[in-house]
Amino acid sequence: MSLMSDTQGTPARVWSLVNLLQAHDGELSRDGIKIWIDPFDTDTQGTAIQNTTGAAASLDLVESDRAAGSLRLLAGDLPGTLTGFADWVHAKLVATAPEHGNSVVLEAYAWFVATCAREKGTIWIERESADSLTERIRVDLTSETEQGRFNKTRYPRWRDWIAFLGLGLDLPIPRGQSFYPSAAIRLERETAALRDRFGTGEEIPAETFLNALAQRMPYLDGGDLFRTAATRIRWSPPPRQLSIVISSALRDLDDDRVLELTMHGDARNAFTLHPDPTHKKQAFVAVVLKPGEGGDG
Amino acid sequence: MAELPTKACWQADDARVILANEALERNDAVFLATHSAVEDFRVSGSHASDIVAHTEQGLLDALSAPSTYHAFCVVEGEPGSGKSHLIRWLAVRWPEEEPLRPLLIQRLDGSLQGTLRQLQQALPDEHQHLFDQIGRPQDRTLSGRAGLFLKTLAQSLRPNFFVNPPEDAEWCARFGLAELLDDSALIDQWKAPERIIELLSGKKGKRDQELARFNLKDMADLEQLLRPLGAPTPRAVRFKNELKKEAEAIRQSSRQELANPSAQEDLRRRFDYSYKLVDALNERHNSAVQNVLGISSDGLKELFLRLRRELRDRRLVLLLEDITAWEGVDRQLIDVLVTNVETRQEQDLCPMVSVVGVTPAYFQNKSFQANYFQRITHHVQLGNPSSTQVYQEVSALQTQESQIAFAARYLRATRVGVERLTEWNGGPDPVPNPCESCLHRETCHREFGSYQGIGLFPFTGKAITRLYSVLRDPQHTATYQTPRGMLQGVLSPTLQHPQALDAGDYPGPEIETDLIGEDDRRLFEHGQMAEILEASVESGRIRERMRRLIAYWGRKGSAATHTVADDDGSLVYGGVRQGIYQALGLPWLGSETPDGSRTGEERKPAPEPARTEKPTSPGTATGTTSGARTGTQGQEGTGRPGTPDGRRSMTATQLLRVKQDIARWSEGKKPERPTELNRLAYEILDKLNWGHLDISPWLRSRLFTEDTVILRDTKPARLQHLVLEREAWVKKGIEAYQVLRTGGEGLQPSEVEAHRRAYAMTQRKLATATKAKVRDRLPALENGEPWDILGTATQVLLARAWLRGNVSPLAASWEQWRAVICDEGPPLSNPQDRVEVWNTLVDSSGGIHPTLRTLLRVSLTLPQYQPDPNQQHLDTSLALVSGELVKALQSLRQTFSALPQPASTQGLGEKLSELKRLTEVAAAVSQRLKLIPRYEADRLVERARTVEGRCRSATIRYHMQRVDGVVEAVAGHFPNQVSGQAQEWRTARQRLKAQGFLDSGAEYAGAVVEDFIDRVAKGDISPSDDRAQALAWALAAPASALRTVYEGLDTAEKTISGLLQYVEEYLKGSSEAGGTLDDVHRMGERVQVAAECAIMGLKDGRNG
Repeated sequence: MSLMSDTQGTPARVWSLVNLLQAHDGELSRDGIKIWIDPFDTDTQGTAIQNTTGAAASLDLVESDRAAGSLRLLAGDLPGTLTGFADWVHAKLVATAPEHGNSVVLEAYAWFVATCAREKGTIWIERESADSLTERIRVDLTSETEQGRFNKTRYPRWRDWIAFLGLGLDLPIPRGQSFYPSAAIRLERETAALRDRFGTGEEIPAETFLNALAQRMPYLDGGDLFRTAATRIRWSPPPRQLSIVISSALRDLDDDRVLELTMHGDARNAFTLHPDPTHKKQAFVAVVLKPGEGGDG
Repeated sequence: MAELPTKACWQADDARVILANEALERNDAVFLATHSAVEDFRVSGSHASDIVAHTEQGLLDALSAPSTYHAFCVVEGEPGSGKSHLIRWLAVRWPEEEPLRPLLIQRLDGSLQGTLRQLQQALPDEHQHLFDQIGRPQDRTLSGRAGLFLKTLAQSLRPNFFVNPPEDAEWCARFGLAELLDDSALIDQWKAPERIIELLSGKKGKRDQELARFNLKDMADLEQLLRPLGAPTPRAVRFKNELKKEAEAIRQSSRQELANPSAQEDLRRRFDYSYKLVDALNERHNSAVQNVLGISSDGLKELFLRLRRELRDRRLVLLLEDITAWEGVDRQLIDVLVTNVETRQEQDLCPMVSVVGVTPAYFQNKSFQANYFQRITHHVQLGNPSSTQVYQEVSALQTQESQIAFAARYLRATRVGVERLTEWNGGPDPVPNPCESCLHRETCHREFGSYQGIGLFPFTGKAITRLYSVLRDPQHTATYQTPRGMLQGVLSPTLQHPQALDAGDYPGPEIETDLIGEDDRRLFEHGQMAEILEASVESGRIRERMRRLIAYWGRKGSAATHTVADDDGSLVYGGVRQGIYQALGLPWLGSETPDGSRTGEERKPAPEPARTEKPTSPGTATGTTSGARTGTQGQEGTGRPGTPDGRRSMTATQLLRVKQDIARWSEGKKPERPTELNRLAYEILDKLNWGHLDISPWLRSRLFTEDTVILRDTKPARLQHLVLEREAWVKKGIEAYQVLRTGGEGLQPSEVEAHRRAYAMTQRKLATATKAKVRDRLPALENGEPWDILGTATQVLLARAWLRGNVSPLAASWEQWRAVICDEGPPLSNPQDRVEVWNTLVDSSGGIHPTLRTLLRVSLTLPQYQPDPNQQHLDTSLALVSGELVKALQSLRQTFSALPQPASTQGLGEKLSELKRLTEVAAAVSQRLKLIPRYEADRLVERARTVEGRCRSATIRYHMQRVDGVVEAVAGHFPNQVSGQAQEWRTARQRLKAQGFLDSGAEYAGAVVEDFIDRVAKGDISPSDDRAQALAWALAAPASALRTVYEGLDTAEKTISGLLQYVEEYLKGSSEAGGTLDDVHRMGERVQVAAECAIMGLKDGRNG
């Protein structure tokens, strides 16, 4: 029971189930759920509903009461919007223990971030077939005994959850789509929380900011998951050189005036962004958070 | 080591003289110092074989051979193609042995008068008297001459004007064209005659071989002016009408389309009347011009004949740079030129060799072709016909080497200066070359390149060829890639402004003349260089200089954004060597070491026509580039790859076109293909992860279509449009989308990464814009909260399901949901038997309920149509139910009122028109639903009690039988008098009987009503405080049966009452009637018995 194994439990379906339970004071019979979400009885084997329930249960959102034949909502702090739900799931996954089935979601993402840093770009993803890509992830992330933790079948659902979390999207390529790790949406959401901690308009030393970010987004540079992923791919991140994933996200937010990357002369303690000659910011020593306009979740 | 040159090594004054536009204006020394051999031209004509080598020398040898007694040589070429240069060269190099020096007639001011003046000045004094007999121009204003020209022209359209009328004289007469055009209003308003006269007068020196002829656009103008004017005959009216039809289409055609040679046949067919009028006017134009200019055609002809007689013992060599300068008398002149002394019986004229420069437009003139084509002895063509352009491609300067060589000669001459050149004067020594003694020579030639020892500074070979290759006529009607174009568009802007170099402002705006198209000024070929400059160079002025340098000096291809090593190890960035940046005082943006090496393909020179010598500029590396990345690696197959959406991918040209168009748009200009840009914007939008946007698929399908997503100002923005503003992310996003989906062939990895980032950013911004548009399009509630469409639709459908008895308001939520989302069955509540408001409310959603069900299904990602339960489903479709929807369903149960609706739905428009109806029905639900339980319960109770009273403690069946007995008894006594009332009852009884109310046993329908009456009597009436329960109670009541009984009893009561009234009146009337006593007595007994019976029965029935 995990987001990866319950492949038909999409983020939208899990959110729907949660909504349904919430609107029924937190509990609803399985028969009732079935009619609510499958009124035309298209899920004849019950797999989709089972997967949805399984995915929700893996996030500790629901629990089953077999005796009563019902499903009960566990989480009491759920937000009211889909975006808010994405924040909730992200926080849940960040806090997930390594032995939990769901831990692979962000571990795999950290693997992408680290590999992109090592490869100095994201283009290699497009060149890999889904088979070889998922096999590489599986080999690097899992032991022989846990082959099912990440595989080709689970890759599309993993991308779906990652996109839902605001960590990536599908790029159009000549023959289909290719995964592109892009953390700007998530970074913007997490920055909102950092504003509460650091305030706005003041320079935050880059190191302090990045450390705080690594707590909230451990799959990015400096985070636990990132460091583990780097070890797994046998690569040492160069000091003060940021990966392309975090660099792109920071530049995007700098462009959008969500934050400002500041530089003083050629300060030695600067963090260097992944090279992008088309952008004015190539390094920074501090970050200034700008006042937010209020999110939609 | 020598230092880099940083200052100009020439004078502006010298440049102005040396680069003067007209080749024949300069002195011979300058001419020879800058002369580039004219060769590789095409030759035809009756004596073409005389020219052994197709070179200028070969032509000179053929024409100047002593044995040549007659030659009429036509040099055909586009303006600027080198006709004048070749003719001038013939004049300069004509053998000294020629007894009479060739008469060279230059174009100069382009006027006929000026041309005649030149001829007069060129002739020795002894021949000056010949000009006495030629007419003199008269002192008239331009408009005066234009008026006279038109007047004469109109007269010349008369059939009897010419001794030998033209072929079309009859056609002109048929439509009364002479009368039609001979109108003073036209003289004042028609601009075409004035334009022609102005051209003939040289257009103030700016004529440049432009033909002084009428054209189709003139006819369209004429048509406009003819409209208010009268027409002399019905046929003239018809002519005007035909002209009008054609004029509309002519106005919509561009000059380029109308001038396209390959389209002429089609144009003649489409614009038959207009073309014939053009031909008629041009045919008569010479005659009219001569009248206006005061120059007699016979006089000119006579002048030349007498000149030839006077020169009988010498050969006359006449070199005419431009025949159009003779327009008006050109035919008479050509008549003289083609007159071959060898074929005349009288040997009274001198031999004559003439060389005439003509443009292709003049040469293709029908009249010229018909009269003189066969008499051309040597036809030299300096261009090749183009299948795609209206102009010829010029033979000169077709290779990059010839372009560089041409420029180098001018650079050398300019550096030498006019004074030194004049001293040299074409002597036997080579042209002086200042580079030979220049201190900067070594570094200068290394960085900027050289050609045969002539430095190309401040150009490079690449800059020369690049600047030359982008010369364009914005109208696409002429070519600027000519020697003159090279002078005006490439060399002059730099050489005439040496101060820009001295002041450190080079390359400045002056190098980008109007001859360089907007699209060519951009840095498209250099990948993302524009963004790099924007990010790296603060000063706008320096940034622009950098842009120009990289755009024209640089190397094509995206690899330019990397620092590479040139063949000699020098660093190259943007395709420009580091030394050039230094020399021009521009910042170096590349790295200090090469961060990429050029591939073998990069080093390969660009394919071009056979070269005889390679320029030695090391900074001019050309060739297509290929970055380390091959965007389509791993993609099998040949040819262009497909795109994810199955569309054919674009060619490089198409990609560039989109790039140019989006750039135009982002700069505030009008794109050429706005529809294509909007389609691309929609495609990107379509690829959003809609499932994560919280926008229902139904709304998405209504609000975001290919028609509703537009870029600002690409079409009039309306309410339904999602308008993308001119912001960088839109431009970058569309560019990125194009590149990514086509594979980004040949791009550098860093550029691909930038495109990926741009695409991701665009998706992010579009998601925000899309959500904002939804908020904008949907009216909000009065309190500002968003309108819950799905919740409202759910409530409307649920209210309907309740009232139709398809589900009880007390049923479980999922049962209610099923009734809402599934196709509805037949009504089970007999709404027609309920209070009126009940039925009205059911009817109000009658038209819209299928639409609302579809809206819900699509929004929740369910199939649009309910699948047949007996069929196996291939796809699992789970509803994405929102909490709001569930709460809306529950809320209706509690409040019997729909959710709040927006105050106004005016902005919904056509696309969301269903939602307007939804608000109306929702309002009806809110207004009426809550009334229904009470109204209906009250009526049910009232009816139950009424029925109970009317049955007078009997069962319904018994009471009906009792009524029936009375009615039939009275009807038996008074068959004629009460038949109507009795029939009414019988009908009612029949209805009751048919429904089982007169049956006995289990079939007895009255039992359910009697049971309900008993319940009511015992106080089982609906709860007043819970509408859902009240409605459920009402739904459970036998409303239909109760109504039938109620109405049957009502009929019964009315019938009995009527009968009673009749009998009572009858009895009263009988006692007062006349007759014998016996009659009265008998009748009285009978009636009394019957009446007593009836009255007893009736009273019993009525009062219980």
